[in-house]
Amino acid sequence: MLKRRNVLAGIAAAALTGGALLSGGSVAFLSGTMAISETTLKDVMLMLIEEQNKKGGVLGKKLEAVVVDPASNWPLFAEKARELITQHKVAATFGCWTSVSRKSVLPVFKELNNILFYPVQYEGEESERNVFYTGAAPNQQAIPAVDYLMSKDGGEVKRWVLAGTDYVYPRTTNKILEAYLLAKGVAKEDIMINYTPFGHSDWQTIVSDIVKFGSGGKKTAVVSTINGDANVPFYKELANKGVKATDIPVIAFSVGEEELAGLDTKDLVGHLAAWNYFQSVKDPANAEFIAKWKAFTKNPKRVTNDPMEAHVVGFAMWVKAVEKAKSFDPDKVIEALPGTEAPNLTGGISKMLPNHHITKPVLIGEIRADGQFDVVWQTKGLVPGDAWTDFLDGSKDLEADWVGKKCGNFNSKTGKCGSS
Amino acid sequence: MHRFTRVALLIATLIGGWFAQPERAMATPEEFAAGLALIAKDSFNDTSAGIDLIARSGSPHAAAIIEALSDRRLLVDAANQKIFYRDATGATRDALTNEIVATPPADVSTVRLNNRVRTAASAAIGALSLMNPDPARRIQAAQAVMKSRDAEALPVLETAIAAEKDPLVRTQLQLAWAAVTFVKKDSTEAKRLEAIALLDASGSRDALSILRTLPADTAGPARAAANTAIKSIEDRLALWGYLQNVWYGVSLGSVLLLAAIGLAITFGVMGVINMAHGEMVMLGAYTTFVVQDLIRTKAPWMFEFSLAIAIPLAFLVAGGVGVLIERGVIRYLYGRPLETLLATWGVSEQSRGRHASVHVRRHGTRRPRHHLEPTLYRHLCRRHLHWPFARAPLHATRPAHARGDAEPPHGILDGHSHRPRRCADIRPRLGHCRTSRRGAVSDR
Repeated sequence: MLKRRNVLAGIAAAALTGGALLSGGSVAFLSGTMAISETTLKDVMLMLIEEQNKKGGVLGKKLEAVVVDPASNWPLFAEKARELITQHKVAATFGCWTSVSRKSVLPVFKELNNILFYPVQYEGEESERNVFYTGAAPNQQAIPAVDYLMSKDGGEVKRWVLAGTDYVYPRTTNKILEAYLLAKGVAKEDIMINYTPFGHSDWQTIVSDIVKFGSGGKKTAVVSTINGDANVPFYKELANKGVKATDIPVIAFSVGEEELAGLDTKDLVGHLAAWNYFQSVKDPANAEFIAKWKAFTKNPKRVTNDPMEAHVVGFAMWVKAVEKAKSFDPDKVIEALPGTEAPNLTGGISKMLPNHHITKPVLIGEIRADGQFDVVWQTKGLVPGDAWTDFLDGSKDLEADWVGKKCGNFNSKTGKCGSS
Repeated sequence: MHRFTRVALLIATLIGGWFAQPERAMATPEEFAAGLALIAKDSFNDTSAGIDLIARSGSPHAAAIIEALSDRRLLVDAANQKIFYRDATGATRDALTNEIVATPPADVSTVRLNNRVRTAASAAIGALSLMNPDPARRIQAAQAVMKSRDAEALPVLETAIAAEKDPLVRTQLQLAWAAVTFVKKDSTEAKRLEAIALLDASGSRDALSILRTLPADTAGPARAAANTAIKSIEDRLALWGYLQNVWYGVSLGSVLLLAAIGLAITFGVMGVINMAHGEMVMLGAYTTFVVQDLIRTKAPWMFEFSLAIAIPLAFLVAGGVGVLIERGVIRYLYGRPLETLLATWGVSEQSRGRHASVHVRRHGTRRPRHHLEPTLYRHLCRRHLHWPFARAPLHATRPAHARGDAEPPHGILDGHSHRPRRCADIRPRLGHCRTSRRGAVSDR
C-alpha cells in the first residue's frame, strides 16, 4: 500500500473553447512522484473529462483538467487550491483525501467562492456552501457497519475495539461510534479505543492487546479507521497472531480494493469493509465502468474503488447542474446542484441533498482471497447522508439546509443559524 | 498420580458412553436433501441451517459438501434449486446423488459465504472429521469444536477421545471436550470441575475466554474453581506477555543494530556519512520481495528456497547501487564530507515517494511471520540512526588507504559529535588522543 498523497483535480472550463487544448503540461509533472493510490482519483477524473469532451463537452465548451500535487503537505493544499482557482480559473475542483486536507482548503474555497467535490468517506459534523460531499457521512458507513456486526449475520458482537489513525476523521468517527454503542447498551469496559500515528508499523503490542481484549468471553470485533500505510503491517500482524475473521472480525472504513491490491489477502479472508460501492457489485453500469477504466488505464488489473465511484457520481451531478444553470459560474452551479440526480454504479440513482450530501446505498463486504469483496449485506434503498450526527450532544440539534434555510448548521432548538 | 487416575476414570466413562449410544450416525437422507434445499436458497441464514442439517444427516459425503462450501467450490443452480460441487479433480458432481455431471448447467454461481456460515461450516467439518485418519485433521477438528462449543458434538468427541492413541491429539480432543462440557448448561458439577481443570492445564487464551463465559450468577465450587483457573491462566499469560515484549524488543532492536552497523562501516571505511543508508536497506528488502514475487509466479515449488536466493541477490543489488553512487557521485567528493552528506541526502530524497509497503514471506507453506517494511527502515534509519550513531565510527577502524583518500571530516558537526570524531580522525597523528579517550578508541 502506498502512502496517500492527495490530489486535487480541478476542471478549468471557462474561457476555453475548441479542441486544441493542452492538458498535458500540468499533468505531466506529477507522473514521476505520484503513487498509485493517489493517481487513481486523478486518473478517473481525466477519464471522465475525456469522455465528456468526446460527447461535446459541457455547454459547448471543452473541459480541461488541471492537476496539482500537494504532496500530503496540509498547508500546501490551501496554496494549491488557491493556485487552481486564481491562476487556472477552474470551474470546480474534485479531490482531497484526508479530512485534514479538506479542512485546509476550506477557507480558500469560501474566500474565492468556488466548488469542491470531496469524494471520500468522512466524519461529518460539517456542511459548507462551497463543498459537496459525495463520500459517505457516518450514517452511511460507520453506523450501518456497527449495526451489521451487532446483527445475527454479523456475529452478534458484544465487545468493540475502535482502532484508528490519530487525526480528525478517526477521532470524530470513534466519538460518534462510542456514543452510539453506549446508547445501544454496550458497557464502557467493553469498548477499547486505540490511536496510532500515520504510517504506524509496530503493531505487535497493539494486536496483542486486541487479542487479550478479545478473550473476555464475549464476541469481539475491531472497527478500524486506520488509514493508509499502517494497514499493511496491521493486517499482517493479525495474520501472524493467527487471528481469523471468524474469531475477531475487523471492519475497516478506509480499506478498499486499491489498498488490498498491495496485500496478500489469503489470511484476510472474511475481514470486512463498509463502503457504498464495491468493484464486485453486479450491475451493468458497473461492468461498463470497469471495462472503460481498464481500457483507459491500459491495465487489465487496475481495480476500482469507492471514492472513484463518488467522483463518477459527483462529476455527473456537476455536469447536469452546469447544464441546468447554463453557466459555469460557481454561484449558479451551487444553486443548481441540490436536487440533481445521477445514476451510481450499484444500480441506484443518487441525489444531491440540500445539505450538500448525497444519497448512497450502504454495502458491507467481506474480503475474498482474490482481493475483491463479497457483498454480504446491503441496505434496501439509498441512505441520505446526514451532515450532523444524531448521536452527539451539540450535533443532534443541528441540520444543514442550503436550499431553504441557506445555512450549514441550523439549530432547530434555538431556531437560529450557528452551532452555539 | 492423582491426575492419571482422573484421566483413566474419564476415559472409562467415555468408553461406557460410547457403547451406550449405538443409534447415532444413522443416515437420514431426508435431512440431507432438506439441508441442500436450504443451501440452494443462498441466504446466509438458510445456508447455516442447511449446514447443520447436512452435518447431522450422517451422509457419507456430508463432509465433502461442507468442505466444498467453505472452499467456495459449492455451486448453486438458482433456477432449478439444485446444488453441485467441484471435487478435488475439478469434476462437477451433483450434491444430492454425488454423481459426476457431464454437462454442468451454464448458469451456476458459487454459494456465498460470510463469517457466520464460515464458522458453522468449520464447526460442522470439525464434528465430522474428529475420527479422520490424519492426526493433523483431527487436531484441526478438535480446535474447531473447541471454538464452536457445540453440545451436539459431545458424543462424537467422547468416542474420539476413547479411540485416540496420539497423546497430542488426545490433549486437543480433551480440551474440546472440556470447552463443550464447561459451556453446556446441564453439565454436572463434577464434569464441569473436570473441564475447568483441563482448561486450566492448557493455559491458553482460548481456554481463558471459555472460562470467562461462565455466567456471573453461577455459585458453588465451579465458580470458585473457574476464578482460580482464570487467575492462574492470566498470571501465566502475563509472564508470556513480558517475555514476548522482550523478544519483540530484541527483534526490532537487532534490525536497527544491523542498519547502524552498516552505517558505521560505511563511515569508518570511506569517511562518508551516508544519508541514503536507509534506501540501501530498502533496496535489499525490495530485492527480497521481487525475488519472492518472481518465484511465486514462475516457480512456486522453489518458494522454500526463496530467501536463500534473495539474500545474496540483495547483497549484490544494494552493493551494485552503492558502487554506482560511489562512481557517479561520491568519488568526486572525497575529502569534502559536507558535500558527500548533501549528495547522499539528495540521492535519498530522489527515491522518496517511490516506495510501496510490500510483504516478504519467510516460508512458502507456513504462515507469514516476517514483515519487512521498507518504509519503516528507511524512515527509522534517517530519523533516528544517523545522528546518535555518528559516534559509532570511533569504534570502527579505518584502513590506511581510506585515510589517505579522504581528509578527516573536521568541523562538519557541532556539539558532542564533533569532538570525538575529530579526535578519532586525527588520532593516528596525535597519539595523545588515545589516552584522553579513555579507551574508547580501539588500539591498533
